[in-house]
Amino acid sequence: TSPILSWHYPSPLHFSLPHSALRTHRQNSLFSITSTTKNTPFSLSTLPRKLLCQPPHGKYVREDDLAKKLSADEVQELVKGERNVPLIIDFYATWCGPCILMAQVLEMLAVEYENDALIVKVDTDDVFEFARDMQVRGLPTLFFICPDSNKDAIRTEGLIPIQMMRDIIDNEM
Amino acid sequence: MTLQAQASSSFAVGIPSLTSPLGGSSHRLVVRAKVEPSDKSVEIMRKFSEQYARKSGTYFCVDKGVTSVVIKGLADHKDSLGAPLCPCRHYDDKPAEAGQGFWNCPCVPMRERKECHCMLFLTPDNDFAGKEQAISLEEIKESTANM
Repeated sequence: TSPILSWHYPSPLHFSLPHSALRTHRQNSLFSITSTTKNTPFSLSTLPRKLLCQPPHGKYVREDDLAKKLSADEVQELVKGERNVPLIIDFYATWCGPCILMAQVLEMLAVEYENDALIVKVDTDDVFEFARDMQVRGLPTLFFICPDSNKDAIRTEGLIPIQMMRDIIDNEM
Repeated sequence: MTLQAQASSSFAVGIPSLTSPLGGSSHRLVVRAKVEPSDKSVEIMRKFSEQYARKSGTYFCVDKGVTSVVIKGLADHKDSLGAPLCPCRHYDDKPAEAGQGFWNCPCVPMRERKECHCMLFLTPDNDFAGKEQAISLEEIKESTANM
């Protein structure tokens, strides 16, 4: 059975409203977090500045990536199976700009958490049915799935600060 | 450098990006290959992005790579769907969405609230906003050369 999904952080999401202002406001609030929390630890200050200034290599997937790209079958198997650590699934698309920044942040997260979290990414065009079942809309979308299958999964949309990801893994999983 | 040379040589072969499967360039690039948008569409979306940024008083990302990728995404959808559907979303039915228009760039959230989750058009107060409203074709090609 697929994990029960709920919007947990930072505000409730109603899946039944497509293209709703609610969803868009949520995306906006994710961005406005960056401007309202200038003094708190946030990705711009915790990420080395040069990460943003260099043109990205433009590749989501490299052979030596810690966050592995999975196929549709692989990710479905992973979600159905059991695990001991939180599972983070990154939904991206080829030409989604923020998804590249997200991939860089996830690599940092993978280094930090090593084997204490499993981070994978999937191309929504490759995993079309899975993305549809998970009701993926805006990209990048992250799902944080608990090792305890009784707990709700947490979903975020848009580029979120790395600290928010750490908080979710540390406190919610 | 090598990758770039290979990519440019494959364009010279004249395989139209729409019909070539992955194309001659792809099996030398590591990743799963996606078709590149046509130069013409990239140029159209590049010009549109510059004009719309000026018109809306928004700015490109400090990281022009993000801008480049999104512009190419818009061009890719323009090629395949006939309309520049937002590349930073997942759709159940892309042609239907392109026909419907809500998410065609500039999308309704952008037009109404200057909200661009692709980070293509950023309001000045956004932490990621740079100071530029221009991007050259060269910048786009360089930033996305390894894709």
